Amino acid sequence: LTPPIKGTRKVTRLALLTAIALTIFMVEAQIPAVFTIPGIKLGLANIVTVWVMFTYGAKDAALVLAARIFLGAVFAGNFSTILYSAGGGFLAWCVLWGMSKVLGRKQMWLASPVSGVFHNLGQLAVAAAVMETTVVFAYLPWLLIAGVCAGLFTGFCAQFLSDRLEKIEM
Amino acid sequence: LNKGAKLILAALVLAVAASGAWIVLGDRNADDPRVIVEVDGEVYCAYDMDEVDGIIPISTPNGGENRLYVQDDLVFMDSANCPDKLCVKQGVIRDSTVPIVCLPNKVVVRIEGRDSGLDASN
Repeated sequence: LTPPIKGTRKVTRLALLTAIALTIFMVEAQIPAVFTIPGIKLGLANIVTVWVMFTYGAKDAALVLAARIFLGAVFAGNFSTILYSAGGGFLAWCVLWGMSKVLGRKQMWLASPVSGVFHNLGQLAVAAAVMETTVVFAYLPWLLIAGVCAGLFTGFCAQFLSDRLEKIEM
Repeated sequence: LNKGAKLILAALVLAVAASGAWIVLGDRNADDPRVIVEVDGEVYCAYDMDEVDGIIPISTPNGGENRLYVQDDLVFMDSANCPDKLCVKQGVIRDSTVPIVCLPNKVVVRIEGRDSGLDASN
C-alpha cells in the first residue's frame, strides 16, 4: 500500500489522529443518552482506533487510544470513569489486534463489532471488580447486542473512510 | 469473505441471537419480589416490595448518598450525589432483568424472588 511513515511525519500524523478521535469523543459526549442501560453508546471515536490498527498497526493504535482515553477524561473533567474506559479500551485493543491479523483491510468493518463487544465486556469486568459483585453481568446481553450494533456502525465508517483515503495520498 | 471472516460473522450472529433469546425468554417476574440494596458487594438492606412504600435512604461508607424510591411494583433511584447520575437516569425497574447500578457510590439495587433472595444474602 503506502510506504511506512516514520519520524516527525509519523508523530504529526498520530497527533492529528488523536486530535480527531478526541474531538469525536467530546462531541459524542454532548449527545444525550437514548438508552437507559448504562454503557450503551455509539463509541464513534472507535472509528479512528480501528482505522489506525489496520493502517499503522497495533503499537500506533495503542498510542492513539491511550492518549485519547487519558485526554478524554481530562477534558470531560471526570476521572471516575477512566478505569472503565481503560479496561474496555484495553480488551478492545487486544481483540482488534488479533482481528487485524486474521482480517484484511477490506474487512475492517467486521473487526469493529467484535472489539465493540469486548469493550463492553471489559467495562463490565471492571465494574464487577470495583463493585465486588457479579450482579452487573445482568447487563451483558444488552451490552453485547449494543456492542455489535455500534461496532458495525463505526466499522462501516472506518471502512468507507479507508476506501476513500486509499484514493488520496495518506 | 474468507473463512476466518465467515467464522467471525457466524460467531457474532450467534452471540446476538443468544443475547436476544436470553432477554426475551429470561425469567423475570419473581413471586413475592424483594428489593435488595447492596453497597460494596455487601447486602445493605432488603425489603419485601409490598412492605415498603416511599424513600429508602442509602448512605455508603465512602460518602455516597442515594435515595431509592419504592412504590408498588416499581423501584427507581430518586436522587444520588454521584457525578454522572446514571443510576437516576436509568429510571424505573420492575423485575429482576436488570439491576440499578450506581458505579461511583458502589450501590446496586435489584429485585429478586424470595427464594433466590435468600441465596444471595448468604
